[in-house]
Amino acid sequence: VTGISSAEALPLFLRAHIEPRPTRARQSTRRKQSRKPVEPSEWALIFDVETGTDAAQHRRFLCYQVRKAGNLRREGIAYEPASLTRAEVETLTTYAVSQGLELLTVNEFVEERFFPILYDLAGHCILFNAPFDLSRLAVSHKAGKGYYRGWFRLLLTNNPSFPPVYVKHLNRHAAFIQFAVPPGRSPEQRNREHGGNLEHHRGAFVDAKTAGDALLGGSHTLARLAQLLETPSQKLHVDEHGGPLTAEYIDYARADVQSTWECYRSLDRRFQEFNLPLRLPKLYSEASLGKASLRALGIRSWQTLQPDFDPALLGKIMTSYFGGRVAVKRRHTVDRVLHCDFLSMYPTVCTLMGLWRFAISTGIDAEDATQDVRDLLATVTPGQLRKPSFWKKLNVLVEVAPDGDLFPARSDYAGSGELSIGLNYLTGGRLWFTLADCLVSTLATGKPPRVLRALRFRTRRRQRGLKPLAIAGNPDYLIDPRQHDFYKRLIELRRQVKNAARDADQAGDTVLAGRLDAEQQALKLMANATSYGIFAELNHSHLDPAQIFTCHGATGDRFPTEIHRLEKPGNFFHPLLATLITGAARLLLALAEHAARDQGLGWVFCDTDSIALSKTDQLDEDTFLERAHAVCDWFTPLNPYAGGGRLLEIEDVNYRLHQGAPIGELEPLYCLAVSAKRYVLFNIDDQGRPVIRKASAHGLGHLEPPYGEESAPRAIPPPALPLRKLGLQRWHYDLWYRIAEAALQGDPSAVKLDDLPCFNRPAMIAYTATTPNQLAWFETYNRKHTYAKQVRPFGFYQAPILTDDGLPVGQDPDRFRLVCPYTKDQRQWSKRRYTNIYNPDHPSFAISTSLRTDTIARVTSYRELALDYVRHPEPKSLGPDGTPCGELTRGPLEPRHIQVGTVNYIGKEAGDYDETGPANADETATRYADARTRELAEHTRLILEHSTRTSIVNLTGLSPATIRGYLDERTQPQPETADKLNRAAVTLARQQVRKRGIDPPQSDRAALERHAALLAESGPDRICEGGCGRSLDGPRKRLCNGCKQRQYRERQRIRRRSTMRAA
Amino acid sequence: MRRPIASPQEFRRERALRRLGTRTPYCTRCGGRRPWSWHPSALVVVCGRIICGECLAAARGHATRQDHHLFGQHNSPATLSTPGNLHDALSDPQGDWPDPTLTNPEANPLLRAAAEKRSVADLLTVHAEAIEQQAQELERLDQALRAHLGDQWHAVLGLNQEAE
Repeated sequence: VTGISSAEALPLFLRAHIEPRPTRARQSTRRKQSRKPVEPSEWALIFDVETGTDAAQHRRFLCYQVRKAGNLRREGIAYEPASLTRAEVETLTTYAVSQGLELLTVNEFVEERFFPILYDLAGHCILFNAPFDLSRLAVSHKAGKGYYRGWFRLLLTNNPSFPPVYVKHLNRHAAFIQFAVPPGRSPEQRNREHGGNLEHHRGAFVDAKTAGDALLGGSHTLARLAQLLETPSQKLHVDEHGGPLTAEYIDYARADVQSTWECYRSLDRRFQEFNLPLRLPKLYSEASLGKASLRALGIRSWQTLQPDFDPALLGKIMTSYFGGRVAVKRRHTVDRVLHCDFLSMYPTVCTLMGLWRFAISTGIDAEDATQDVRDLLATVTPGQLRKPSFWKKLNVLVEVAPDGDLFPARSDYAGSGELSIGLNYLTGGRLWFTLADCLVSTLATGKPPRVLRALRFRTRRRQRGLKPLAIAGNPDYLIDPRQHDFYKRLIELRRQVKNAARDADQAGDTVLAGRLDAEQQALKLMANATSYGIFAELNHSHLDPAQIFTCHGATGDRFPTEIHRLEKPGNFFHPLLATLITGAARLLLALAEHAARDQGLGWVFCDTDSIALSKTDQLDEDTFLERAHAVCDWFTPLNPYAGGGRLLEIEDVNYRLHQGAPIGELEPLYCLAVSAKRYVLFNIDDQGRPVIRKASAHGLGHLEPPYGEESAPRAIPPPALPLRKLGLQRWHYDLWYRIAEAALQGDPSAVKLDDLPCFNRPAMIAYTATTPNQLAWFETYNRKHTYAKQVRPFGFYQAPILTDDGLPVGQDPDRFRLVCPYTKDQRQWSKRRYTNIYNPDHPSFAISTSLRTDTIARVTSYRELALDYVRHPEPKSLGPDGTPCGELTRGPLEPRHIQVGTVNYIGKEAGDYDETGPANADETATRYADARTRELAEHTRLILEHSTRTSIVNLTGLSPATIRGYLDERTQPQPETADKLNRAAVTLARQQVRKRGIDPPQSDRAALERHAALLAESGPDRICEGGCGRSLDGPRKRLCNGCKQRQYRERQRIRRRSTMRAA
Repeated sequence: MRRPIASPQEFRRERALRRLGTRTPYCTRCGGRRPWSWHPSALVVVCGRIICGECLAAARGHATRQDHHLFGQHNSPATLSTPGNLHDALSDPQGDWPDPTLTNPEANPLLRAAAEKRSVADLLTVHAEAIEQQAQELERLDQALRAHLGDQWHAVLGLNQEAE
């Protein structure tokens, strides 16, 4: 291998498998499974709460509709008397009388409409952004306990006969919402009293936003959703929120309710297209749809079919798991590019690799394929990879000893504690990768990696009970899981339906075209939902107190680890499929890179399923296009779908725009990339100005916009496409425009920001208080305010960004993050007082963009943030000068060469910073540390030394010799042995603590620590008076158990003798 | 007093359906052959199974017909022998009568007349429910035949002439 830089040692971070604890066997196998409660009735309540614009966003009034079987039965307004003036109440009254509406107070609405319809009549509750509206109805709230840890318990009325509502935020699209079990005797309870097994009715809450985001993709506002679904009632526009109440404003609020209802109806109709055994209230995401699809096909999850799969092998599979590839090849340069993407990347690789047979099999088995893989890697050529049959062989995991080979790696490249995944030259260690990754390395370096071991996975027999599914109930769209490759059939059907929709549209049959278009969307969604995400699904659950689990890593590593956040696999979790799919996707991108290199082309960036091919200086425009087309054509033989065509397609962004829509003529497209996921694609107009076609909002989307569209500088031409289509806010667009402009002038980092309004103000991030932990930061603030004025569940708050040197004097940098209740008024941002979340009772802090004292924190302004953004380095790559890419690096980048240092194991990387809030330190990937190496081992040893060998033998099942060896520190226990000893120590510690009349703590660690503390309190050990020399564990004991028994036997012997003598 | 959002009958029916755990309840013992055995008020849960009052009485060796106090037992000692399920269906709405009308401690003739009117209204309501139930069953049958024999199932079975 030539051209590889010298290796630098970096720690690697690999995903690991946490072995679930065996669940306690059921007492009786005849125990009945609980039955789902009755399905929701035909009743529905739709409402929308209008709030003030103050920090607390307290309710003012709400409009509602009551419907039965879709027919409007009642419509009304409910108001909060404390939030409205007398004149406003009069306005409402006049309006309600004139329109024939009911007028209630909010409390009356809750007791006479909300609970009767949703709880007593088991109706649907239809809302848009349900958590917010429900939290506005609450009169008080609490943090959930036990199972409901992390949930909000909202009390909607002080009347104790009505159940509270539990809400748990999942992500920005969805939340779990349900009624608590009410006091008193419910119908479900009566059922159980008579031998039934009904679960409690928990309500049917439908969030139109959740359903819309799941069925249409993306994140939508009500206005956008109504627009997309073409509902008859669209959201109205008002100039001002929170002003005096007028009839127009009430019209606006009523229209919101009507629009929400129509969106729900439209989404429900679309959802029926799927013909799935799932109800809309249970649809939380695309993944819900995917799982329901597989269930409808009669597929059972791999975990239930093969629960005894070797956890050590699962550990190896998990360590080979990396996400999609995101990389930048040329930084801070303007290049002519052709942006291409792969047709349905994940369904395509599933089809190419034949992974459907894994999904429908009863299990998987691994067999050795070391020699086959060595031979294959030694002889493989890119030409072989153009044959679809070759891809069927890629269901292999390989253990390699990397030596300058190009593999995916997860590391803290910048030393900032932030992990990212890169494709790097690795040397050292023994690591597992997919065969696809080994092929990527072989193609890139020209040498095969050193294979230590390879495992080929084979499927067991097909599952029984598989059944066909007719999408949209149409027998023409029948998918039989026994005969068809599900993914292939879905994509082919979609193509057919799409063509039919186009024909119908051309023939003027808009109704048929609309229906077919909805069907093709459903097919697309189903293909995406079932092809990847559900196989990698892991859901977090918090453990309080933390518990010890066994962690499995690469090369058979196995150790106990203490976990406070457990990853619970989703229903169709199948890590082998997840790692094979992403590995094959990385291989397709590597092949695109290879094909481009063969054609003499470069590339600027790639992002999971797309790549921007770039023109080199030597080529003219026509040759570039000809060669770029050749790269696209290279993949055509790999297209697995009937009808053929290109697999690597040219994106719309490459085509000239006519009246805002692309036409079939290519227009020169240019690209400027800063770092992974931060790039802009643009054309250049006649005056040499950039015309932005696509830009990334990555790293900017969570910030409050410093200005709106109306304040945009006139010097910047308006966007050629609507901002909605670009997926940008106006200030993002302006910033990218300025960056592209500066790049065209020769230096992208010399970006002109002077005329961007409000850029000197502190940059602010707005958050929603989605967990009880976040609300705890505002306890001090809330104590000083009435409930209506407090920061409450799903209310907003904001946080500034501290500069590197902005920490107030005397504060701990690791325990300092500022927050403050939300205000939209930007002029107030600098004037307000901010609270440190780690010390909310401490006097609050002021912020400044220039000054720092012991009470003032220096924070980043939008200007500084924008400059940082454009200079954001790509530390996983090397610059042209051979040093890690820094802020000023420009030009072609190369992968870094890493000497594998320590290997650390982690859990799932958490969601993005935007969602987790400023205290995200606890929310990043869980790191699994070896508990044996910590003080826990000392406590374990202490308790075992103070226990009898017999009790340890009984609890562990280990031989006395093994235990003696461990206690005498002659042997280091194997992971399994250490695990058993730890468990025994915890049990014994609890027993001992309980003996002293103290309730032992729940946490394993705390129990050991408590016992150690008790031992320390009881002073030096007392010795058995029987002369054996053993220490005594109880304060009242005189003899140890052995001596006590010996003395008892002696007494018995004497008594027997004296009896015999007397006889 | 604001108008309640639904009639007491609707609330009662919903409570019964929640207790039974299904929106299409029927007696799992007689399979709906006994009259009124579909009525939620006439169905109970026994050991997790839904069973009608008459089947339960028969299984326990009791009479399946019962005497129903048509106007409420405090208003008149007169009874009507009815099937047990119909008795349940008719007794249930009496719980929604105003308390003075149902108990009538002073033997008020006006309240007694009111009870008579209410009992007739209940009788008609329960029979209206029965007719609606039959209509729903016919619609379900149509759906099932469509699924098995297609939209023209009546032509397939040669029923067109009769339909005309």
